Amino acid sequence: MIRYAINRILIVIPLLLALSVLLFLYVHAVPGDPIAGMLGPNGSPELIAQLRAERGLDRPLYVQYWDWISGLAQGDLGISLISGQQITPVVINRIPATFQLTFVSLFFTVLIGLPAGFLAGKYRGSWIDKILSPAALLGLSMPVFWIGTLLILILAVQLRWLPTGGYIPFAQSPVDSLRLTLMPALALGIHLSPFLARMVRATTIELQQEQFVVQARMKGLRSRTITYRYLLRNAIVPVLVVLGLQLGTLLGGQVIVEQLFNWPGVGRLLVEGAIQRDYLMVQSLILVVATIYVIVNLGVELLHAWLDPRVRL
Amino acid sequence: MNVVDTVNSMKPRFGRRTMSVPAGGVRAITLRAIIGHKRALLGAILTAVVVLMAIVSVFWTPFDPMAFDTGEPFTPPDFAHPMGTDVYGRDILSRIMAGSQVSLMVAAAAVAGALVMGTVIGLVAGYIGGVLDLAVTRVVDILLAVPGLVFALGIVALLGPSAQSVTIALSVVYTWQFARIVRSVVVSVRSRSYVEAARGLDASPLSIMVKDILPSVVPILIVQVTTALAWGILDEASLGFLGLGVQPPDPSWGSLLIEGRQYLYDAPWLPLGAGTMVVIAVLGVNLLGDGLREIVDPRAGRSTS
Amino acid sequence: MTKQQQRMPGSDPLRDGAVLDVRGLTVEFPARGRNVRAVDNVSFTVGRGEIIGLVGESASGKSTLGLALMRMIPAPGVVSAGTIAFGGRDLASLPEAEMRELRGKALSLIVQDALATMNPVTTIEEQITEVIRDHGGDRSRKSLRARATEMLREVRLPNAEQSLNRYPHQLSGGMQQRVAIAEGLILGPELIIADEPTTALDVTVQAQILALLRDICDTRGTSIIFVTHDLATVAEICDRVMVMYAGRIVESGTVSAVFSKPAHPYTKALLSGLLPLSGEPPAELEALPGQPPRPDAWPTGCRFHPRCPLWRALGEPEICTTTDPEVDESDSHWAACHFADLEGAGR
Repeated sequence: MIRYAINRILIVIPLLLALSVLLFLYVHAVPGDPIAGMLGPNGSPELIAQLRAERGLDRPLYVQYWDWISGLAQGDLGISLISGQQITPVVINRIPATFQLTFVSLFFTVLIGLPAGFLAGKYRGSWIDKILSPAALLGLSMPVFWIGTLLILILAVQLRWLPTGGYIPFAQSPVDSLRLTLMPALALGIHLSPFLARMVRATTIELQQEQFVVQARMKGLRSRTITYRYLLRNAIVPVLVVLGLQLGTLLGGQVIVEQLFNWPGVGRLLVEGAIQRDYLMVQSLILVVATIYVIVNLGVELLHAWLDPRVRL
Repeated sequence: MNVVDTVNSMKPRFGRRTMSVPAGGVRAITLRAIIGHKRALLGAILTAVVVLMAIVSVFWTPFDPMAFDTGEPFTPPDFAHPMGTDVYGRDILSRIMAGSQVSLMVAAAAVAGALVMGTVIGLVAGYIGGVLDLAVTRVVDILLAVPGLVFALGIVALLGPSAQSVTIALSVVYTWQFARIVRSVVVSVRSRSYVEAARGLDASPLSIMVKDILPSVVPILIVQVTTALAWGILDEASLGFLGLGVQPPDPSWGSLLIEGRQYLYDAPWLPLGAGTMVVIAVLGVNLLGDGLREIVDPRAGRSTS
Repeated sequence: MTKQQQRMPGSDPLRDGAVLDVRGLTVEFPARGRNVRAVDNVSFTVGRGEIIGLVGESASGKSTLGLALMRMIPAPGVVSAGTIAFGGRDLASLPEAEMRELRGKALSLIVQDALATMNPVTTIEEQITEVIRDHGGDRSRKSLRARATEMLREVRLPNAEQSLNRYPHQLSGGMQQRVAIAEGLILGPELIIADEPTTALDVTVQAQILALLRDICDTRGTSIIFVTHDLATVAEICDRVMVMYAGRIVESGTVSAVFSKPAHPYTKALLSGLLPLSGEPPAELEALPGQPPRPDAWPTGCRFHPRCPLWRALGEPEICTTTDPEVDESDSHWAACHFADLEGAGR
């Protein structure tokens, strides 16, 4: 198991390195001058040249890349094109909010998707199964900002149960913090759970026909044992795989949800950077997001290997 | 089949949704097959409604979508303004109709660009193979680590917020999905007898690619195009919602939703129309895509839907 | 052959007290708007400590018969007629809750592919002990583990103690089958239905497992219904044999009687090697033309008549095509053939 883990980790490092090269090339291969574009009509040639020199953008590309990547290795994300300030402290400041939202969202995703898919698969053709299929399709067609907007309209505007957005650090007031997390996380949960539910349903249906489940009944095991130890435990394996796969959608969706609910996370920082055309910031943040994505995926994969011993082979 | 195999077989290899090449080849998509397929038909109808609305809006909208004070600001939905008015008294329905042009145009143009670039990359990589193929596969694998929307956002950041930037950004993101799919089909048909035969006849690589290989890619591409269109509409609206798409005062579904977010308590009806339109459009294209997928490969739909 | 001759010199299992007494068992599946009988009016008994071989081709209904005894016929199939007397109860009409209690405790089913029958995500220990726990047994982890270890030793699993912590896929095929047998035996069932338990294994392991099963019968007094298409295996470990064809038992008797003096033309064909029970029949085979019939198209009368060499040799008598052969099932060796006597077989 440990060897397996080390192997997986060793694959991740060159992947991220290669991604950094690609990202860097992408940013610098785009035609036109982003700085001129950013400054707009005020951008006199002198001003552009001055800014270039200040941010070190007049150096050769490989020097710039080396500077960036060696900084990254030490946790230095570089400086903002606009303000010239260090990016790292700003990101660190925002990471708790982002992680809190990610985890609560995953919680809701599983809370909705797993039971719905499992019950629909176990009682195939029952009312719950018949509702699930169209509901999942509708859910898959709903943009996350639309789900969020509807939640705001119902829970905040109509019922006035929750504020329309905002963030309080967990350490400051756990209850209020979670109260504010509820709606954005629920929006992401509703957004992600249909796909999960579909997969769990398909797996559960297939599991019931597996010989080891039939044999469990042959052994006279109680139906509770079969449901929990045979069906559910095996159905959880694909849940992990799906969550790993869905992480991209989650992180993308989170960017939008953070915007919608005024949630001061990394996603919002990214959008702010994009709107201001601060490409140095965007470039570093994308790599941060990709790293989070790859690391969480790695974690999911290791958890998967732990839960399903066959994967380790 | 054990659970691990099952799950692995469901794992999309790239992006949100892709499809594999069915072992027995693919079936042709005919109008009759679509009409005979309940969900595909419903999807086609919903899609047609949205497209029709966009076309009508070119020639006629109830009010000028840009005109102020067509009624009192924040008029709730009534007979004259079926979806109410916004803060400047502009007619929401007219703006939704005009916005549908932008949404559909951006999605269609992005997908068209990705289709052309992706098909060329996939064809060449898959047909020539070797180092080139390896490079393309690796690039796709690496880009997989960046969520599509975040990737697009990064490109828009470079180009500056506008409808054109969104189109280019989405086009670049989707290109790799198309390349991946086309490549996998090409690799699977490359060694089939008719391609071998064409090669034996000393046909030029270009003519083999276009005449012998491309036709077997087409049905799968049609399905992928519908799927990509659904995501295009969704992503355009998302980027618009983030303020990176069409800039005010021009209307788009995404920007109408931002305005809705600003005046939630004053005019809760503001975002309803635009949001519903996005859902109808995406649902329609999704249904059509799912239907086509099942028509092309009857086995594909059964396991997941 | 010598072994069972020593054990059962012409004895009647009924006199020893039957463990299982099946009368007129019929299993039906709805197909194309009508009911198809996969098992049709089957009667037999199994004595204590007896191994009875059930042989037949793949669609003969032998595995279905095994599932029917477990009351595990997959829906929409049903046991539509007959009784299954077991331990003073009729399994055919027992409520499902009581039937569940019996499964794995009083009667067990062991099948071919042991790995496929085990939960991939739990250890061997969990799999064995959950059988005990779910039948209201011991709940202390320590004593459960001790019982599991003991059982694994009894089925001669090497490194029994360590194997408990393993997952099914980490064991070899022979070890997996031993674990499956251990699971079936842990609660001391009176009857084991073994459906081709050694087919997937290589020859040496096969012989070991067969010896193990034989041993269990002799030491524990467990009865086994051994479902197989391998006649050599039957000769090796069974006391009696039943030959199944097209949903019916066509011949039954002690292994020595049936193998030395087969009475039914079908049995004769099997034993002479004309008709292999598995795989394609040899091309030069003209004695037995045609394929085994399918459950939705059983022939009328004697179901074997379209392929029967005797029927053709006798000038295709009408009785074979119109009337089911009758048998006296109290005989120790009988065959369901109108002309069994003509063959000079031992009645």
